[in-house]
Amino acid sequence: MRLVAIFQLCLLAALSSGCAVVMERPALEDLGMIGVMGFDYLNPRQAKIVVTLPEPSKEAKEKTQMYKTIAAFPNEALMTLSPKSEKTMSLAQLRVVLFSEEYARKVGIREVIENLYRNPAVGDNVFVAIVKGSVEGLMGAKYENKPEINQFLNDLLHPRRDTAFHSFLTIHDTIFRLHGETSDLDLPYLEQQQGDIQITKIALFKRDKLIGFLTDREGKINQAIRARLQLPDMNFTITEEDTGKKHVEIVVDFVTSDSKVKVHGGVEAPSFQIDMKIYARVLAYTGRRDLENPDEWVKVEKDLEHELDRQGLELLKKLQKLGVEPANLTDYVRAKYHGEWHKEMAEKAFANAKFAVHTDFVVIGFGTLQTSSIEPDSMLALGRNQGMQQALGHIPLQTIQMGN
Amino acid sequence: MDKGLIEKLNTFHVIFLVQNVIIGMNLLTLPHDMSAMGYNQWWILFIIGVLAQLTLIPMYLLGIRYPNQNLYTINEILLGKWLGKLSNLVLLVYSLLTIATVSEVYIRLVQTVTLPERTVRVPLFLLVCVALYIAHGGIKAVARFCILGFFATIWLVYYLQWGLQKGIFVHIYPLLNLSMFEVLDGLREGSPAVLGYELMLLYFPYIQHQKKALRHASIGLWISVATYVAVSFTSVVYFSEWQMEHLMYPVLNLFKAVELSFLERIENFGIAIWIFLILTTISAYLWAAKISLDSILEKRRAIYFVLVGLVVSYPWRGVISLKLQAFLFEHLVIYLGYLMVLWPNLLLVIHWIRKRLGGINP
Amino acid sequence: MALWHWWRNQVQRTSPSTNQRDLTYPEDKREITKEAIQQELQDADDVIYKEFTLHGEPVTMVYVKTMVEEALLQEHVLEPLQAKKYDDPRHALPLAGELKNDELPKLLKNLLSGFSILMFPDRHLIIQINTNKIPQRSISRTETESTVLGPQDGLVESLSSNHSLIRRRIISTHLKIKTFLLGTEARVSVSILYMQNIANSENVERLIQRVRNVEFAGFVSLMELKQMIEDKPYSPFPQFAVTSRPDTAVKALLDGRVLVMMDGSPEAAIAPSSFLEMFTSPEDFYNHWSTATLLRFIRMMGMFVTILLTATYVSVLTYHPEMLPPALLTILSESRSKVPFPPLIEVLIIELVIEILREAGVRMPTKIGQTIGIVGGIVIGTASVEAGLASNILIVVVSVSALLSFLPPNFLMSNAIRFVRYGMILMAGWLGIFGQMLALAFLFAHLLSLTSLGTPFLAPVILRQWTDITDSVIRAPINYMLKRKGMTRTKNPSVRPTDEE
Repeated sequence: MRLVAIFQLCLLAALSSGCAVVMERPALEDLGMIGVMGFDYLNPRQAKIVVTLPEPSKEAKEKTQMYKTIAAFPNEALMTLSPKSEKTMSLAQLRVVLFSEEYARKVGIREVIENLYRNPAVGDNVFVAIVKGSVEGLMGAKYENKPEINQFLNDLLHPRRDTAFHSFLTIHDTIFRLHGETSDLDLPYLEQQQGDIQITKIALFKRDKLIGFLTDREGKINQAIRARLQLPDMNFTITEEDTGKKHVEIVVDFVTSDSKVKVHGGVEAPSFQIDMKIYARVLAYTGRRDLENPDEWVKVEKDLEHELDRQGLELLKKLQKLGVEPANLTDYVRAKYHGEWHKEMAEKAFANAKFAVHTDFVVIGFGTLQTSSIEPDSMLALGRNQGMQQALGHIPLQTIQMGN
Repeated sequence: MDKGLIEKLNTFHVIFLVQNVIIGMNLLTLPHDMSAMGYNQWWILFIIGVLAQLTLIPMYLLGIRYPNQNLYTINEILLGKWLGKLSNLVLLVYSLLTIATVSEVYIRLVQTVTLPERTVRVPLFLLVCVALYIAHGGIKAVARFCILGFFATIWLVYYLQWGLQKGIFVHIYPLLNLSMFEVLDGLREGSPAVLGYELMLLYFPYIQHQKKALRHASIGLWISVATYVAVSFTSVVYFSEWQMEHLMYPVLNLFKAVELSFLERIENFGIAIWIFLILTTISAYLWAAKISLDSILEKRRAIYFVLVGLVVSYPWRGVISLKLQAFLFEHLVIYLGYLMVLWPNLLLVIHWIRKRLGGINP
Repeated sequence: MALWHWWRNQVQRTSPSTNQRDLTYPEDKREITKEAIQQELQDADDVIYKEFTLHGEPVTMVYVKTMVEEALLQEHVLEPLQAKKYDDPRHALPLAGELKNDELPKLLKNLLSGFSILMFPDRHLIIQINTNKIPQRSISRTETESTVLGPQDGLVESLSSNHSLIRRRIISTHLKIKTFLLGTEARVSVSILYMQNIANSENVERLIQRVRNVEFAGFVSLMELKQMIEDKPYSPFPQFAVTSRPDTAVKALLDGRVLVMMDGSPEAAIAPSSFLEMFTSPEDFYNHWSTATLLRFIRMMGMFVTILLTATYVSVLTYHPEMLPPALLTILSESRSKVPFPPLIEVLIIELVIEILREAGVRMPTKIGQTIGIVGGIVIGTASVEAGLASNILIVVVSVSALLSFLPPNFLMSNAIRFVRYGMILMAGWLGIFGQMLALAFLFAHLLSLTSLGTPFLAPVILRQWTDITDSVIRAPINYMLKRKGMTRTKNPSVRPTDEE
């Protein structure tokens, strides 16, 4: 009974003292929610920092506020920015961090990213990207046909199948790879082109410094090697030697892809055997083969396999030359190595590595591509075939057709 | 009638008491604590589970020999009045230190993550108040709250899938990439996480099916170990070694990875709902401390709860030096925990000796 | 310290006392004479004393004019007595009862509840005969627990009508009705109903014990009595379910619960009951199990949403703006930009406005009440958004949570939830989402500590036995309900035979 009374008193005290404290705290509308933070090169110690925040007020003419300052670190920037704004600056809603190419080449992105990663107010799902020219120029420009820039950049860098040629690295992933044992960074590279912002290339990093680029096509193959399940559409130009047609264009829509990496040899000179398994639909085909005929179909697959093998190997050679490996192959070497592991060992292993790429390309259908050129009867047959495919799951097409 | 029964803990109560008291603050920091093991930490937890299971057996054996006595009274029976009281005092100190450590560390985390502009005093006080309220209901109330706490928090495991999706599974290889010494080190770092089942001897007299208590406690223990392994495994695939070493609360970052369309940054929510796990741990130890006071002072009084609560929630920081705090909260409490886990072995031996000599009737 | 003593005295004073006394007729027994009656009933002008002779014998008749139908008296008492000569007046009036000479308290009680007293001084005979006629409402449908399907009759203010409503549904020798007189002044009848072969006799005993221990001047409603016999009177949650539907009452009886009814109260209290039962409606059993399960889920989820939704609005806007996804952030900060109050105050204002509207609507006649609802809802809501006093998101949030708070069919539970919500909002404003979860933990700890007639209040959430799950958040098909609830600790757990005999 006594305890009941005590609890009641405590509760009353607690509840009655509750209201007084709260009033002064800045609520949502008093906070300047920084959405994008950009870093331009100024000198080796300091950077020009640009931040933008959405302006919620309906009366405001501009939907975005932009502030600039010179500082070494994000925290310092917040300090110097606060007197410029009527709102309390907050990094709680930070979505995108941008670095200019110059900054990434000369200073490196590590310190800034670590600084943000350490800040409990900043989330982990903040996307990182590199900008051609200056960040200030990119963010200050007018984009008539775009939504508010904070939201636009966030949406642009968000994982989507169509842009899955880079790894959508967030702050967490950046730290993961910067301090990881094997893999290197590949960040999207933004360019401003006639009132548009687009991801044009992939910036490659050695440790935390930018050293080179991959095209989006190479990026896709890189992702295929990394075993990303969903890849964007891809087009191939191949030569059909038996029909004699050159420059056959094939557009492929990947359904799923998978890759298995096997390592032979030791840490000093490993050789990688990469087996990619790809299920895809052909969306466009300009060759001369009769796709109704199963034998011919297999030939298309063979052509595509050769093409992918070649491109994969080319990419790996290029990466080896640059000395970076966004494909995370040396992790498989590490997995076989007992004892202490260092990043240097991964670099050394990659430099001495040999590669073999083998693709298993399964075309699971041609979409509605042939409707104009084939007879209604055979269309039915094709449709049935596709239906059966779906029913049987991912059994490679060849086996079914041999059964026929 | 439910009230007034001595044997009031049924099967589920025992399972979840063991399970939920184990899981407390340690889960949040576990991957960090064991970061020296790198990617091999997750299977070490199995070994820790086996070790805990082994130490559970003597507790059961002791409990079944004294079906109507708790650890405090067993101490007094076997060690004599004054030695028994002394050891009970040690156990009291252990309980108090555990409560202080768990609540303090948790409230500090809450303050850093969700209330950066507040001091820890008020939240700590309120936390202890609620824990006192639960503990005041007796061990059955604690047990019932444990069941609820389990269901209130177990679904957080679902959010591990974000970490697993992004994770790189090659990290788990090479397996067994540790020397014997490193494994021992890992055991040392990881073992405090499973402490909590040692309280079983305190509520053993209240268990309905004492014969099956070992089985039920083991189920609880292995649920905890499974949770630990799941979290540790996800951390291993999601983080790099550097991250596990440098992140104080890796589970926090696992929450941070989650992105729902209507809610983001659920680590705020995750840390807040963690309070259920903290409360179960604290209230169980509060109850333990209270009955320890009961037995030392030989009076049963509800006011002891308040006493214990005051001692625990009193801001330690101003009174004792940081160095002493670190010693108390990071070392002493763990050593006392080990002592408490191994204590039943000693008591069993004494029991056996005294039985041989005759003159003991439990 | 003074405050402490005062508080403790208050607590002790309002706690139920434990000393026992037979309270039916606590007054001293006295001899019955006309003078004694007149002395007791001084200044009661509606008491009529008639002296007349019947077949040459002097007779005194006493009755209370306002409680007796005089035509009935004439037809059923005087006419049979006058019709022919008798040896014993009891032969002419077979329904009459005899009073012993010293039973003055009983006489007075019966007289005041509508009996007529006939005194034959020559024979030393006092008889009483029930001639009462109390104005009473006819049986009509209940307003608070209306259903679309199923029986539509509701309990009324007359205890005997209520008994007959229940007797009509359970024609069994096992249905027991025990009646007590309660209240030191008002002496109102309180009855306890149970099925002797099903209900746990410990439960029955305990409830009878509690009812008999109550000392109070008089009860106007069962609700008052219920608060005094509940396990934890300080809790905001009702621990006994209350129904004004005979079908719910019968269902409870058949499950082995004990009912408490009171004369003058159109309700029955069900003990023990559980937390989940506060969220069930008899209609769940008239509907198919699938629909009923869906509705129960909605009601349960509704409870959590209603206590957490507005509080979450406060804590997210005040402490954790990072939890908002970009789309929500834009909408919210846009609508908040004109509001001059901090979120806590804003929420409290709008919540209170809703509460005031509800209260005003309840007290008004139905038609005016509707108008107030519409005026309040539309005009105040829209106007306050346009004036910038509240954000329009908040109006949506508050109205949803207000609607949800009316989902529990149990009125007391819905009130309790609304009370809890304010605590939650304050905690959210104070300590953000941590405060919210702390309050939630406290709420759960409190609910866990509650008992209803000694059985845990949260029993079906934490199952007493596996079969309880068939009638919890899930309402299983009726064929699966083989056992009575675990929490009733019934003598006879099976609802129907399960083996194929």
